[in-house]
Amino acid sequence: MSSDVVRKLLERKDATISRTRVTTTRVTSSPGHTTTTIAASSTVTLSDRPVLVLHFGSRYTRAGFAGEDVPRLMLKTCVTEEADGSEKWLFDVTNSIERKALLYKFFQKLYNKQLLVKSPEHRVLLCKDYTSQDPFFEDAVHVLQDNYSVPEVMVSYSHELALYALGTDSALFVDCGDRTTHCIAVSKTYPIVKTLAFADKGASTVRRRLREMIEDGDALSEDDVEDIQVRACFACHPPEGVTSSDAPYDIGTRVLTVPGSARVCAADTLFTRDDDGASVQELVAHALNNAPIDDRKDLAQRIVLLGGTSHMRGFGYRLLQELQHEAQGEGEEGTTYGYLECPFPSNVIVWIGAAIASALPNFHHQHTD
Amino acid sequence: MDQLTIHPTAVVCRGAVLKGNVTIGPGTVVHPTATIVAEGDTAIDIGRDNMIEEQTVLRTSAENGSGTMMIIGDNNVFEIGAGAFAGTTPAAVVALVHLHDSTTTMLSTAHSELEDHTIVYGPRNETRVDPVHIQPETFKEELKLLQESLGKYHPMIQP
Amino acid sequence: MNEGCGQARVAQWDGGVEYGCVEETTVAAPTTTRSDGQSSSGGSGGEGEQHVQGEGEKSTTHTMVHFGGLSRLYHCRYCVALRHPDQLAHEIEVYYASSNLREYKLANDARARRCRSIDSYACPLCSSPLQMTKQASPEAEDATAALLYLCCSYCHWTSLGSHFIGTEAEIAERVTEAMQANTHARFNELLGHFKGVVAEDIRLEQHQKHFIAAMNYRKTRVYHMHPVKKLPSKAQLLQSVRDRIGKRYDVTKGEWVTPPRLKTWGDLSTAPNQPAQQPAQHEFENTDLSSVASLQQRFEALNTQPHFTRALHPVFERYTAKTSLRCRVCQHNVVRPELGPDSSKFKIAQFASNHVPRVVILQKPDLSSPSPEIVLGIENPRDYVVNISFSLPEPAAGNDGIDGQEAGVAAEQQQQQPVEVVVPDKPVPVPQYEPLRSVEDEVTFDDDPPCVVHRALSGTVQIRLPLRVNRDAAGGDDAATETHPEQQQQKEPQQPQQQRRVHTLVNMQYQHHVVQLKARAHGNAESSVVSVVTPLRLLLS
Repeated sequence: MSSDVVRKLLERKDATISRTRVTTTRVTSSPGHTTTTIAASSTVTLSDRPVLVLHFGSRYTRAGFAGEDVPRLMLKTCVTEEADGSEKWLFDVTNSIERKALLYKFFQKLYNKQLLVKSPEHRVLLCKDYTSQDPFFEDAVHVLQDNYSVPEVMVSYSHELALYALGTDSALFVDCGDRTTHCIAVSKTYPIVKTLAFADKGASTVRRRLREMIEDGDALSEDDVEDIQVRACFACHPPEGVTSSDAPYDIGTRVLTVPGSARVCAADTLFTRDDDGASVQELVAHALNNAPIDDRKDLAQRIVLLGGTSHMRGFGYRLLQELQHEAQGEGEEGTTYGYLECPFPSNVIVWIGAAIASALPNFHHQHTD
Repeated sequence: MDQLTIHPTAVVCRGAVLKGNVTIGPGTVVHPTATIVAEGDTAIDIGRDNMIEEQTVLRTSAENGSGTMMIIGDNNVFEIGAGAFAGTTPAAVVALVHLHDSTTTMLSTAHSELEDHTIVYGPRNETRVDPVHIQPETFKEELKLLQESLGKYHPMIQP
Repeated sequence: MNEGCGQARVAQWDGGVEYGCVEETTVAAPTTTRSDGQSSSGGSGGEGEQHVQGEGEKSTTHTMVHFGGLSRLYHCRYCVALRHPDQLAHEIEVYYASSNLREYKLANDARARRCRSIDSYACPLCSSPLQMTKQASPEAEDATAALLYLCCSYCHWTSLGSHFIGTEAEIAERVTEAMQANTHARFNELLGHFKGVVAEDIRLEQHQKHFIAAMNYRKTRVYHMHPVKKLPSKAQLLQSVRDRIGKRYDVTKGEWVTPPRLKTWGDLSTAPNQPAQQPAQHEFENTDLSSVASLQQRFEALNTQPHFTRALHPVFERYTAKTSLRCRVCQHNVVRPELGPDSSKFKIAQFASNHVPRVVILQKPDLSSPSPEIVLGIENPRDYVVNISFSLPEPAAGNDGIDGQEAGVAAEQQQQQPVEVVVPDKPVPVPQYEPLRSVEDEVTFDDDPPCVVHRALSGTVQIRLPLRVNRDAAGGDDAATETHPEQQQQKEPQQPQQQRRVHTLVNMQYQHHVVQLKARAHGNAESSVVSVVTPLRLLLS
């Protein structure tokens, strides 16, 4: 090949390097890690600064730094207007421009008031799962790069990150979020895409039911209903012969009563198939049925609950109960379902996994071939 | 017939609003702009060594029949702006209760009786029973100081 | 019930004046990949310098106008311009604990402690600061063994029932321990393991580096590829793929090897098949919800997130930071905080309201009358006479058609406004601000009587400006249109619901005496006078 051709080839290669080059890299270390690296546009040496790990949920966001065992902050994924205190939720907007404006304000508060760090000093890792919308992450990347001059933004998948926190390579993840619940099986660090199933119900559905069950519930603010859901409600039914009692709840202007039936039945929507979608146990059953036959028995005993909704009192117990019930209905009484032991609270497992992964020295760039 | 009974050792400042059948026990300090109103036939009975600070409102209403009584025991503190209301049922606030500022406790619906060592705080009336809670030394000194010297600096409502 | 609650809302006329910051920036032309490269409001202007890196060409200037109340704007002395907070970069100077103002930390120390204080604590129930108090125990003879405990002045939580009592060091140790419970040990175990695995990978990578480089080079030499003599059969290919599962190519050996790491998973994994507990009977029958922790209380203890309030513990208080604000255009500090309560030097405030004439609408214009007027009060905060003149804004020129909010505002200026201000011909002088002024010092100005209503003593002027309502402009307001009586009656019930904002744009020009700064730059000892133009948006309804 003549030198002219070579030179032209090289020029063309340089010309196509634009700022938003997206490279998918496979990190050769540990669990089959896929990281999408979105162009490093500066040459600041960042080895001494920990990565800023952000895990966006539709209601709460965990923010913190790599190498720390727990996120520094658990924030609401919303922007509060100064004028009237109203909240604009980031996952509610569909318009890209509006979303970027909200993200700009969100990050402004995050960097300047809450985390108190300089944005150009820390690379950012965003955690994505199969149900979160791509436009959101694209906008987040644009805002971080354009307005906050973040040197590098990385996006990684939550099921892989969770493996770091669990110290295992196979698990059946049940991610119970605020708006969606989804389930995916991961075997030997590879996600089995056929097992992915999700339902558009979550804690927000439970709150909707709760509002219907409480007298004059529509007048309550979302925060109040959330507080009632967290404190008064159970995900499982009481044992035989026990009835749950009504609980008084004071919101300052009046005292309302949370009926005992509401306390135990509000979360039933998550465990029954109704207009809002499938039940959690159905998602798990779907995942197991589509997993490779050899792995099914193992995966059934390695269920991991992610997400904040699974913190509801008795959620774990109820899920196992429902799964056993379904298995009995199908005639497969031999299947045992169980959880993988994990000391971390469910809503931060993915974040902790991300913190471990991004603290590793060769995390972000390992180009193979 | 309105009956206002103030114990000789009680310290009730002028500027406090006392209406109806109100009994104030020994050693209680009632600051100015405190409002203690017992409507109609209802009665409020305040025990000893209580501290009722400015802008508080203690009210019993005679809406649902008469005979409602609010009994406030000993060593209670009603911080600035606290409120306690009793409506339908007899209410009791026994002893060592600490009502924070910005509370508006509806004693009839929420708690018809507050136990000893109850602390009510915040605009949402968070209530907690804390037996370990002790009133700090500074507070006891403050109470003693007010009992002794408030009369010299502020006109009083004489019993 | 809640008498002093402030629930009553009186219908307010939310008219007022908003000030604009005009900024001229050069922005690199968006590259093709950034097709929707609008940056959200603010911030893109001055940032352009940082990451342009010579790509693309510089396009023509365009102005960005922010409108905000004067109380929110800053004044950059070096640019002599108003700055919106979005145009300023936050820079953190020092961290401090809000309840202990003596504790100052710089970035490194703060980061080491995760932005948590050393000896200030926060209440587990209400997150307010805790005080350390001595326990009154008359039995204790020696003062050194006095027990300290924590108590909250807001919710009166005390640490007496728990084990957070003792000496200061003991309390600090126990709080640290509580904040590390559950997660710290396991996290370090996992991290240590993976770091070991990665160290192995890196070592291998270093070792293989030059082999891989050579291999890559050889790939570019296309003419070095050998012709294939015989293709393997399908069965052989499949078998070779099966053999390679789970292995990677080791260049030094020239063969596929199983990397050692896959064998180490077993050390770390935890027990599967764990059951879940059913909540106890008493929990269902419990009516005291304050014994259950709320979400905010749990979020303060993210490592354990206990269900019950009794398991909550005090935490170290979080630091807040003093930030300095830096103008993005000229890179000078607009606001610098004091680094400590001891070092207080009085500095002239950099807030805009100390430099810019304040405009207030004194009389609400009645837009339905034939000749509406608006009375503006102008106040001069400086110590020299300022001449104010008004002009109508011209349509912004040179707009490149870049989408986004900038074009929106410019278009707003271009459109014929429904209400326009008839600007006076002569500039109106506003005397300086003088707190002490006697009647003899009265200085007379040659004023236009219809225009100037009144001059107060200390630096204020009231100006009456007639308004001209454009009936045929797009989106004229309801109040301005004259309708028949029947139609008016029909419209009246609608008006309270439709609250359209009617505003008008006007430019205000005033002089600013720039002392020292620019003079020093030019080596000139005299102060210079700069004429500043600020867009104003008068909100009429």
